[in-house]
Amino acid sequence: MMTGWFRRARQTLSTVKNREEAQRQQRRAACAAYRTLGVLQLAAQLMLWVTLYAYDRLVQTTWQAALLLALPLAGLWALWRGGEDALATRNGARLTLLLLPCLMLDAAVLLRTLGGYISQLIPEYPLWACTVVPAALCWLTVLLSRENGAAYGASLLRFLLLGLFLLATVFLNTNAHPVRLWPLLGQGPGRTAAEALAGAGSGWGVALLFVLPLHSRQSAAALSADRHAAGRAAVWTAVPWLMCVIWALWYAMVRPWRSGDMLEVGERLMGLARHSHSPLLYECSSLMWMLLLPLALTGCAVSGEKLLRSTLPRVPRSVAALLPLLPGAAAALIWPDDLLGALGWALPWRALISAAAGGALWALSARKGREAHAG
Amino acid sequence: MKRAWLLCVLLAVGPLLGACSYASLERQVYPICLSVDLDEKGRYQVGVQAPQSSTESGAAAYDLLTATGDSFSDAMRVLSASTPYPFNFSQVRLCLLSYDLASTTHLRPLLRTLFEMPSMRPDAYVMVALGNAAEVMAAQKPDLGMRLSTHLNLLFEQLRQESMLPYSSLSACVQELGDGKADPLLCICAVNRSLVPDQDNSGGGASGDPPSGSGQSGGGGSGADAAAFAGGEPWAGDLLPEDILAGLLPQTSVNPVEYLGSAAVSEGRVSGLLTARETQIATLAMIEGRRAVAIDGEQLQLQLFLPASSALAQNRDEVQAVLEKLKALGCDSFGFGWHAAGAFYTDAQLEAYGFRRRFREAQIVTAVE
Repeated sequence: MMTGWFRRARQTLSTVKNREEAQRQQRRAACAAYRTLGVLQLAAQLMLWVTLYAYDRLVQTTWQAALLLALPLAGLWALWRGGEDALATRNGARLTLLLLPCLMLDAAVLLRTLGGYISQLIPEYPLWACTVVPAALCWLTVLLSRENGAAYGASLLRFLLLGLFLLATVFLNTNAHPVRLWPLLGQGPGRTAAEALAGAGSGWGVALLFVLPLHSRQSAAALSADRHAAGRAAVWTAVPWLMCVIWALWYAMVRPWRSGDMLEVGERLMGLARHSHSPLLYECSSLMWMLLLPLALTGCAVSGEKLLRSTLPRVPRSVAALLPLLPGAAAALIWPDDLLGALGWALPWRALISAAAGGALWALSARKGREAHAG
Repeated sequence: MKRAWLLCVLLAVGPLLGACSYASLERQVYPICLSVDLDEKGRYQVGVQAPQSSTESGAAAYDLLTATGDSFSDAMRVLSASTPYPFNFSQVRLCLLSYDLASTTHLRPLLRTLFEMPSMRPDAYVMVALGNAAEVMAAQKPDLGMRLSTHLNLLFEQLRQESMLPYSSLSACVQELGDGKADPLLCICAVNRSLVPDQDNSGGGASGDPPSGSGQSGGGGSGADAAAFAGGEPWAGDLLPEDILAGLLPQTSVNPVEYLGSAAVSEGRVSGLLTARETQIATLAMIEGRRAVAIDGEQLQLQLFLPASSALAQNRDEVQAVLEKLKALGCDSFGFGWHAAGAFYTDAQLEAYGFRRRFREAQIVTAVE
């Protein structure tokens, strides 16, 4: 059903007067849709970092670590902004392939989380089925949807997800009190900063806000039209960061569990909502995760497909979309527990990979600029 | 526009589709109450009280199912295995724990396990049963032919409005026991032995029970104040008579179980009891009072400021006495620990200060502002 809906997703909402205008409008709409998809991926990773990792270690200062994430996010944004011009070149497109491992790791975390969550909702189903079925459905969605259809579909749900997010935090109707933020510095600013550094890995997806959609970055005219939109990418980066800060703040003010409690993934995801006085809001929180996680997973598959096929167009769409999902699914099935343990040491490297790719693109862009100036 | 409508319909239907994997309502057991006891061998005894799907007379009737195991999980497994339908705990209104169990350090892990049980209702009340929790649960009867769930809902709501019942929901207890900077007050309940019918007459069910009249004052009272109190009547806003406690009310009712008073929790286990009047004072003071903590070197002062317009302003000495009693029991139900935490920058400094240790020697000041 979702696949069919993605297939029919509208390509543009504006009236057009000629072919060029039509292409420009389509391009703008596609850029906006992909940015929304990127924002969802970024928000999902940042919120999972808070829920599965940071809160257990920092408790009341998790929100401060989330605030500190502004620095790596801004750094990544600046790098990718600087290297954006080089994305239209063949070498630039090749460099974006460096992001594939990050997508695989993202998919692994998302599949593990989604599998754990579904198996909590339906305990009769084995974990492997709860992991494999969403992966297969996301793959089919990407495979059967129109060009950019998945991004348009995700874009349509953006306000709904934002509303659900607010219902799951600010309007959760729970006993959230600022007094629980004391002592203000928790285990000390050093510890908070160190954990924030680990969280930077979840912010690698800033790159996706610039990279996609790669397929339509062919003409110089299109590039110049994009300059506005690139400026707006700062806002697109700020939204998931703000969501992460609010999410962390509410965790700190509610303290849904004690640091060190052995909890299942599903229990962690619903830990905050369980303290709501309203069963309806509890369900809203559940709905938020059940929309956000599959959309973010679909985003991984779509992004992987676009990155790979922009450099290697001969790779079939089915294989390209499968590439981020398959290793992720394998990791989630083989090392379900170790994967969560790796959040602290393996996943932060995603930020470095993203920064390296962004830096290389920046250098490429600067060289191109110098050559153009000399010419 | 058509797609927008389609999307709305899809989103509305989505949550309903999620229920496809669940058994139908008739094929699930919906407990209203849950009890946990420790038997003499230290094993867990779990009981549930669930409505029968149909009775010959058409009146609401309840079945009691119990199971025993070495751990709570074992007992639950045995209970599930011996019940033909799966349990759905979304309708649980009351979790009863025996005093013997609640006064051990098993309290927090047990509540956490209960809280995490699939489909468990987070706002179910946690109550400490004086005596055997399963017996208290078995003795519960709804008044006036109501369903038990409605009876408990209305009763708790009324008691809450009159500040006779501390908010000891499952989620609130887990939250307060988890953070370590405040302690919950748990409601208590007990069977009033004078209201329990003889075994010979007990088969008649709720409608056949003798002289009902919840709300009438009756025999068995302890003193003039107590005799003036009638459980269930509209409350005038005054403080409860002294020496009132669940199980000892001078009243007559179909339901022999009484829910008044509270159990103070300290360091993760129940450490003592408050009477109904003390509970009411504590609950009112928590709602109306402003708390502050003054730290001067070794001196720790816990301050409670009552508004002049409050009913408690005239009973400042009683408020002080309740606070002193809670302090002696080591129960920081007012959450002074949180206010003390605000005086320190880091967890290590707070830990080094040792608030919990100093709490019992702290000076308590109540003032009207």
